[in-house]
Amino acid sequence: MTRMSRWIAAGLTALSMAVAAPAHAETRSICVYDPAGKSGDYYGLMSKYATEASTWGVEVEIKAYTDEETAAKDYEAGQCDGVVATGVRLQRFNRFAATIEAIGGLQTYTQLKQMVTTLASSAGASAKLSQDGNTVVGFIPVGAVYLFVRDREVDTVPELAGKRIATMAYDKASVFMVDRVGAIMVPADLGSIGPKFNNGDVDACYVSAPAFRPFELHRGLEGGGGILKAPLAQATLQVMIRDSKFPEGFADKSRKDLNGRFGTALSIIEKAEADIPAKFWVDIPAATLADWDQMFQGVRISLRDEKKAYDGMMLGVMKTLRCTENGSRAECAENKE
Amino acid sequence: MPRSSATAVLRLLAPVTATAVTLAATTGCAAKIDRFTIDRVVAVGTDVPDTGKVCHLGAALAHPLASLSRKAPHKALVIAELVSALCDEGVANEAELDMDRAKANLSALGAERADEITDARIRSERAHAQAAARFERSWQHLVAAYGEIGGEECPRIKEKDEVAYLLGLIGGTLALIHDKRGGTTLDIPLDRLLVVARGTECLDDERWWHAPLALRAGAWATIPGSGPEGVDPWELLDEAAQKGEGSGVRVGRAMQALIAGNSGRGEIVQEAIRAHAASMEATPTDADWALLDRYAFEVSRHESDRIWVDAEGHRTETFGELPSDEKEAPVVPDLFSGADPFGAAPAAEPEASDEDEEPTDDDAEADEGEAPTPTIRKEAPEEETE
Repeated sequence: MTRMSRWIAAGLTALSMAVAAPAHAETRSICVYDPAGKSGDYYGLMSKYATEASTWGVEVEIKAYTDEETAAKDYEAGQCDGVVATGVRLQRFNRFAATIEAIGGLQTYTQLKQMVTTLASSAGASAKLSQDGNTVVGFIPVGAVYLFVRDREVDTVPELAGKRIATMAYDKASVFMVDRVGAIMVPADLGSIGPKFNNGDVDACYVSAPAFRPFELHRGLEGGGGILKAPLAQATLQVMIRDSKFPEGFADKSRKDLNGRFGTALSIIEKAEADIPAKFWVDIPAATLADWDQMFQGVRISLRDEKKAYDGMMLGVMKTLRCTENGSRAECAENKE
Repeated sequence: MPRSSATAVLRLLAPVTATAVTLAATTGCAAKIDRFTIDRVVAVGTDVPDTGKVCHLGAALAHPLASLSRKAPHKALVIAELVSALCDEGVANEAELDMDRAKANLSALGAERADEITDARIRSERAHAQAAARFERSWQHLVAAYGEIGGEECPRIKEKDEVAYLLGLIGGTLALIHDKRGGTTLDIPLDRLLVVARGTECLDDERWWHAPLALRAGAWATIPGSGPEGVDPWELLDEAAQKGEGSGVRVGRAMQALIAGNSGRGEIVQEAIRAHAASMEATPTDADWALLDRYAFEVSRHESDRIWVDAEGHRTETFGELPSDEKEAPVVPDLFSGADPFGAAPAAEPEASDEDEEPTDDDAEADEGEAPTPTIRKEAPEEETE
């Protein structure tokens, strides 16, 4: 074959390949944090989401991250067009969305479901979920956060004074609350909470039920420890995207889709909570609960007014949901949130 | 099957075959093989919810069992042939779903769609015909064991053998259904169902999870006018299915889904699927009959898969949920009297008056400390069901 004919043949081959190639939508990547990686429940849920999302104008692919910070950093560095991480981790991007995890803000899964459904349908919320080119396009519940204590007798606010609590240093709210109750903050992250609690390096830590088995927290609870049955907050995974990379209308479809997956995520949590041996749960008397509530309220207001960490409008709607469920709460007669 | 695989299978089955050969050699009696099969093999096999395992066991053992004595061990063969048909039923079901998917994926498959549909249909028909042949052999062994089925008088059935009799009746019904789906290669007459229906009168309904009543009602529902006057066979079928659910062996409910699917009664199929799923939540499987409850589940799930593939292009993700559920508008809790709690004006009232001040997003940004105070509905919020 002459050089000329080889060039012609190569050109024709390239042309035929170009003609034969199907027209694909552009691909967008989402970095998904799941401590269990690709075998995790949340990665599995996002995998189904990605299949559905690929019918909304772009091809969505997901990448598993077992380290949350790396996932968030890769998103910031433009390695991914979207990220799935906890609200606490993403609070620097969107204070409004992160406030859904406010301390004592939502006390039941019914309230959380009502909030997530409202966020998926409210035009006002839609505007606030988008800030500086980043938009939160959905919430996935990962469970109520409970306080795990090595001594189950420590179940009141004053008793926490002087206790060492494993605290996520990047979580402004927790750092503030630990300080407010007079406890000692011991910096930790999701990878070190388990060892610190189980080895006795800290007196308490706070996580949701799905972390109980992977972190082997029963080892730290044996010998008189307990889990205080009063949710500190509702942890969520939030799906955030870079606006410029996704077509118009994507956010709305995404929020509605993920709202429809709330039940699937909730069943993971309920199973994990049911899996914790009954002997570890510590019921809190109503009077003590009221004290906790009062402390939570004070922390929320300070974080809103002084630290500017919480969004006032989100706190107001949370209060509405709490008072709708139980109108006899003391706060319902006040106008603080 | 490649020669090496066949050799491996024979090697694995050697101990079982050796046991049966020893039995036959020492007793020379088909009755002993029947007893061994029903009392030992069935007793163990029905504990394990694995239809794949028993279908291969049945396929492998049918010939050795038939060759062990001069007189065939018919009751053992009723069971062996019946369970062997489940292998072909699985293949037929998969091909049916391929066919449905090709029909649903018009845009993805383009001009090749018709070929895909035709090929899947032919694969499905071949497997259905093979399943029909095996179910029919099961039925024929039942007839050989007990004589005419559905006659004036019930045959003498030992209590221990009732399971073989019931499975034979199920085999007779499934032989007809698969024969129709497989192109009527056996030409089994439709009145087979009525023969089976009469045959079910010889079994205690209560003891067998109301499956006999379900078979009877299913026959009457399939052949209009064949049942007793004044009895609605579909209602009776539902009643049998409901009664059976409490036992943890949901053969009746599966029968309802299958017969309704076969008769094109979509609404009944959907109700049967929902009820089957709800029952699985409410009542655990009877551990002694886990295999039959599993098979019942697979039958209902296949009917569900067909609905899903037809509507959405994929099979059932969560058993009990149906595509029609998704079309219902999501229930948004109206906790805020129609107002947007996060600041936007209500859609219905774009020109709100000064008196009717709704906080706007800008307001919120200007004053983070003051959240709106939406009207709270007094009644308890209705939680959305997932």
